[in-house]
Amino acid sequence: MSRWRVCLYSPADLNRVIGSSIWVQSVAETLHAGPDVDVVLPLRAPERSRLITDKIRRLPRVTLVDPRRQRRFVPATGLYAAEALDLIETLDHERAFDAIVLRTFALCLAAIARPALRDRLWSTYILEPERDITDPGHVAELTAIATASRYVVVQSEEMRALFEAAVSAGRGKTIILPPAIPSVGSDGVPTTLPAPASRLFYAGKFHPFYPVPRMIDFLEALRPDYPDLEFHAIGDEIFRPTGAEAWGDDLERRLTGTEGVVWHGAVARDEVIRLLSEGGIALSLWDYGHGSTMNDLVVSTKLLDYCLAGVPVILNRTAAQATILGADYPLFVSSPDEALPLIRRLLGDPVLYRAAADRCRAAAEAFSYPRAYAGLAPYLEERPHPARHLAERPKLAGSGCRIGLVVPPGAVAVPAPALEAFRDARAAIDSVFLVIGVLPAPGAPDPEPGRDPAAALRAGLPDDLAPFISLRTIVDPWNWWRTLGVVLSLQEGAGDHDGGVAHALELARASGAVIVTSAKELVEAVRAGARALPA
Amino acid sequence: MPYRYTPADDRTLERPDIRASNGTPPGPWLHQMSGGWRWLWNRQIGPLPRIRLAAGVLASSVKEPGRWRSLPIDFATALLAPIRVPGPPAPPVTARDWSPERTAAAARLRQAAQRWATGEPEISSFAVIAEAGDLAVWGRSSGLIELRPEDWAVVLEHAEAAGTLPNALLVTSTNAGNHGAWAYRLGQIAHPDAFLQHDVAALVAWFADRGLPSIFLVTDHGADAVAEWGSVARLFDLVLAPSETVAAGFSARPDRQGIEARVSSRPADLGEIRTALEAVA
Repeated sequence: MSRWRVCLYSPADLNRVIGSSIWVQSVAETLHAGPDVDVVLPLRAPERSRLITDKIRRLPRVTLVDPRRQRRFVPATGLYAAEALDLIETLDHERAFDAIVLRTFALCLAAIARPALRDRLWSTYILEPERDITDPGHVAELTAIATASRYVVVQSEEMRALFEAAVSAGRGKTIILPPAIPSVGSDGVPTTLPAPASRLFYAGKFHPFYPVPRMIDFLEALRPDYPDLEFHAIGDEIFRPTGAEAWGDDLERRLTGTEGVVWHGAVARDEVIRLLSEGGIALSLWDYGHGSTMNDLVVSTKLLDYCLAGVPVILNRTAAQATILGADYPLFVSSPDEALPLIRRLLGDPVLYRAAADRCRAAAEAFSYPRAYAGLAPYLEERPHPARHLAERPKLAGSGCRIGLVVPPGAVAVPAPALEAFRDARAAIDSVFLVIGVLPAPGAPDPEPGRDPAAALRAGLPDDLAPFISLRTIVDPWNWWRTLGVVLSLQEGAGDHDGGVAHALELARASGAVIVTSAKELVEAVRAGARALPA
Repeated sequence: MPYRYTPADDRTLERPDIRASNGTPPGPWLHQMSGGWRWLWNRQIGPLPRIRLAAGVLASSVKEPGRWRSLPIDFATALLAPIRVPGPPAPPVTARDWSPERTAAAARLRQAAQRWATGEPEISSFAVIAEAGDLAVWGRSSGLIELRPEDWAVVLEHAEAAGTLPNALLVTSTNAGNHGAWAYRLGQIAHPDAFLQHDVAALVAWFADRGLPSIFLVTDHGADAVAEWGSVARLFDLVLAPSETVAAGFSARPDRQGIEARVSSRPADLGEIRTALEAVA
């Protein structure tokens, strides 16, 4: 039986309990969920605290590599990127890796300069909110990474859409690895939800983007009515830029001197879950005055921990978080100031508390380690046709009423039978829309906005149908199929699919679209699709 | 371009703006000692966190005999090495100044209002992206050019050559504008077409290059209208919102390229857009 050997490295210092070090633990657990996967994890810095490394060490197929293997004395700052890559190459030379998972933009940019690593490089989370994705220089670097990598790994569907919008070289090789958490019932996670309790929680670093001072204000505002209310703060990384330490100093004074605040400091992840499982309200608030809106696309590990513990979470409404919890989750806010009345409601309404907690716990179940690994397995285990797996993406709302038709490159007219079939479909359901996709000629550049060569086919469209037909050169089939529920495939003769049409239809099938070959089937599929797929 | 690694690049691997709590800022020992018990818990220099760290190393090593060999150095490292090492300061982040774009947007709006005020042209003509219902209503009183993603540039250039250039670009907050042609290109949708707004940005720029204004009409009254449409609305010269609250939300975006949003109800007639523009100017 094949075994898969994976190197996982992040420049996060695992002596510090911060999001990026917890991410390393999470990914090690995710990969370990694959029964045939062995993980090698070089450490950046020698161990001083084992809150995180002890949890990784108990995984039998994960091997931690001491950085002193690369140099005799490693300072507290740890290995430089070049030294870490040297160590990875040494380990690879001893026994080859099947995949090398590296996190951060800077590290991956350094790694692509090493030809020995490129063909197995999984460049992970290289989109960083602190960097400007509209800067042409940065996009060129991202393009270089995407071109040289086997896969680019992002953490959410939204992040993938952003990356593929900015970096065309990422189309067809960007895969998703969301943050992952233990399954309910494992690692001390209780199966039952905790009872409501007069506690507010925040876990994470202390940075102005996370308005912890405001959360302490909430505590002080509520304590006259709820004298037993406590605010539990977990973490000990405080933002102190040189020359502007006042924010951190003030916060630390409030954390240590405010009645009702319990500051736990750095705590292992399972201990965080245990604390949360005692019940309370979690606060995951963001202040965009101090952070990029790219954070809207981020799936917060902290949020998943809150959800796993079964406590209701008050959080900013973002695209990614609405996807996780549902657009109708009752505890979304647009700004941190909106949280106070919601806290008051939750403290006085156990029904709302329980409903929100149920929703959070249900959302967490989709991010367990085994499920996260299942998303990676087709790419790691090199199952046939990874391109088809990339096409298996969720359909977008409204796709049920959209019909696709693929024509080969150089087509001069839309097949008349297809137009007739579409006319019949519109007679049955007048909300259907036809999208004609023209396959690009090999080597052709991407069309400029508003000048798609596919538009030349519009001249032959009948007037009654033309307003409801769109034409497009298919430069990104993986995302194109997400917008279509039904695909019309009309063979004009045996073996008549050419120019890549057959391959395009395979991707359509992998995407979950219904392939129909006649007008009658089209009408039936559209009727069914309009009911079954997101409207 | 070939990448050339230098050790300075490693600074980006740290989050230099994050440093651990120090209890009190680094300073004279006397100042810290005067903090009394607080000094003992100082996470950088106090003995108790360090003892706790070393005890943790000892405890975890005792559990696994295979690690006893490295116990002395691990224990010494825990006792002697700094718990946190501050990194270099983060490079300053300068927010982009959008005032030139806003000034230019105001000028385009003013010029358009002046042209309309002098009765030129007599009949308004708009290039639009809107829902079918709005297209039907507005088309009765105004000339409309319904744009499509695949050929809007060609269509507009033909209109320009024929002397029938529209007076302005008007886009509404719709998920399926122009009979579905613009589906998945506007709003908060997890699809590349809706990110970075390449199509809409090019369209707005086309009009701006010709001194013509662009208007985004928000017809969404929901609480999430700003979150849903803000990233595309910010490209336009003028945003018309259904309420003061929504208008304030759009105006608050630091990266908006137009003037502050105004309140306007959904027009039954595009002449109302002209009126709104004249009021703005």
